[in-house]
Amino acid sequence: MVKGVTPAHEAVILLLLGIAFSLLVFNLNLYPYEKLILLGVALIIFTIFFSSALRA
Amino acid sequence: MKIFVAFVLALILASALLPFLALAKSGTVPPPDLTEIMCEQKTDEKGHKYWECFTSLKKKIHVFGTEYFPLEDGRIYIQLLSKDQPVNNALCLIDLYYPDLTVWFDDAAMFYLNGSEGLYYFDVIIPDMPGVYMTTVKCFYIIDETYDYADNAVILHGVETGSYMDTWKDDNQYHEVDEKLVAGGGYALDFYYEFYNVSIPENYTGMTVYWIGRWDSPEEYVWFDVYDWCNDTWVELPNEASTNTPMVSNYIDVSEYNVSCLVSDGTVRVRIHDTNWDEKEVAGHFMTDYIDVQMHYASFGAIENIRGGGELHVRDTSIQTILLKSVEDMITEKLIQNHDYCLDNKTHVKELLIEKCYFGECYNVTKRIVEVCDYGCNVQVGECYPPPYERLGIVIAIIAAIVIIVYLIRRFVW
Repeated sequence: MVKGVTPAHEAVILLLLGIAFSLLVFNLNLYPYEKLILLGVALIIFTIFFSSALRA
Repeated sequence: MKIFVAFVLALILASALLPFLALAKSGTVPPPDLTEIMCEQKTDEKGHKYWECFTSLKKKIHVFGTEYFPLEDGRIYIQLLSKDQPVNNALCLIDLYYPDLTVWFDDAAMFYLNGSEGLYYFDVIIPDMPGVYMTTVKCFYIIDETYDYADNAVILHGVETGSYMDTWKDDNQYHEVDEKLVAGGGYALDFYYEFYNVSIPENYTGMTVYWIGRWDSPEEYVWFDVYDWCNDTWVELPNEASTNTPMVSNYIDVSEYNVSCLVSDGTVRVRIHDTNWDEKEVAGHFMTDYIDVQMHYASFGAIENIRGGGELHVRDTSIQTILLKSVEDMITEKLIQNHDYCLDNKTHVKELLIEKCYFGECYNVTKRIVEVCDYGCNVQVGECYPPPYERLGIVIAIIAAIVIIVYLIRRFVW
C-alpha cells in the first residue's frame, strides 16, 4: 500500500474513476450494444478493484 | 509511488473532463466550408460552444445618376399624364431586363399609389449583378378593376403559419408557408390560394395576380400558376418571386389567353410553388403580405379605342442606369450558431444560423445541410456513426487502456 493513502481513499479514487469512465463511454459515438460491452467490462474490472480495496 | 499516485489522480481528472469535452463536441460542428473566412471557437452565456466566423468580401457599388446598392430597395415609378392631367385609372405594364438582357419582369402590372397624381410604381430589391437595367412601361386607360381577396389556402407541401386572411392587407402581417422536407427528396413548397365569387365583368381586358411579400431562399425561384378549368391544368405565369422581388404581378391579357377559363363558378386558383424539390440546403420561407386577383375592364368602350388615344404621356423616372463596380465592401456574413441533430435514424442535419449583413441591414438565414448516414445516426450525440472498423478500434483501445491501468495499479500500488 502507498503510505498515507488509506483503503477508503483508494475506494473513492476507484469509484470516481469508474464514474468518469462510464460517462466517457456513454458519450462515445458507438452503437448502444458496443457501449454496453465496454460498460460491462469496466463494471467487472472496477467492481473487483473496488471490493478488494474495501477488503484491504 | 507518490509519482504513480499523482499519475492515477491526473488520469482520474482527465477521465472526468473527457465526457464534458465529448458533450461540448456534440453541439459543435467544424466551421463551414467557406473560402476566405476566419473562424474561432467561442462559448456563449450558457456554456455552449460554437464557431464564430467573419468575412469581408470587400464589395462596393457605384451607381450612375441615382445611386443604388445591391439588395437596396429600388423603386421604379412613372407619372401618367394625358393632356397634362394625371390619369389615375390605368393599367401600366412594365418590362424589366437584367444587364445581360434577359427578362426579369415581363408585363408586370404596376401598383397605383392611392391618392396620387397618376403615379404608378413597382418595387424591387437591387440584385447583386452589375450593369445597366433597362425598363419599358406601357399603359392602357381608362381601365377599372374588380378586386378579389383570398378565401382559402390549400397547402400541398409546406408548413403554414398564420392565415390566408393575413393576405387581405399590405400591413406586414404575413401568411407564411415554409418549405417542407419531402420523403426521399429535398425541401418543397407547393400550395394554392382560392378566390371565390370572382366575376368576369363586361369588356374585360385581362386578369392580374398581385402579390406582395418575401421569399428568403436565394437558391431558387418561386413560381405562380393559375388553374385553367377548361383544360384541367395549371398555367405557369411569366413572373416569378425571388429574394429580389418584394412584389410580383402577372398580367394575363385576353388576347393572349382565354381568361374565362381561369374562372369556374366564380373560383380562381393561384398556385405558388418552388422549382427544385431536390434542394436540401435551405428550407425557404415564403411570406405573403398581400395577394389579390384583379379583373380589368374597359370603362368606356373597347380597349382598342383607348389604346389608340393619343395624348398619353408616360414619364418614366425610374432607375435608368445601375453601374456596378464592386459590392464586396459592404457584404458580411457571420455564423452565429450551429446545431447538429438527427432527423431520424439515418439522416443527419447540420443547421447553421448565419447572419448576413448588406450595407448595415442584417437578417438571419438558417442553412440546413442534410446528409444520409451510412451506418446510422446517433440521436444522442447528433452525429453519424463512424464506420465499423473505427468503432472497433475505439472499443479495443479503451479495453486495452483499462487492462494497462489495472496492471499498473496492481503492479505499483497493491
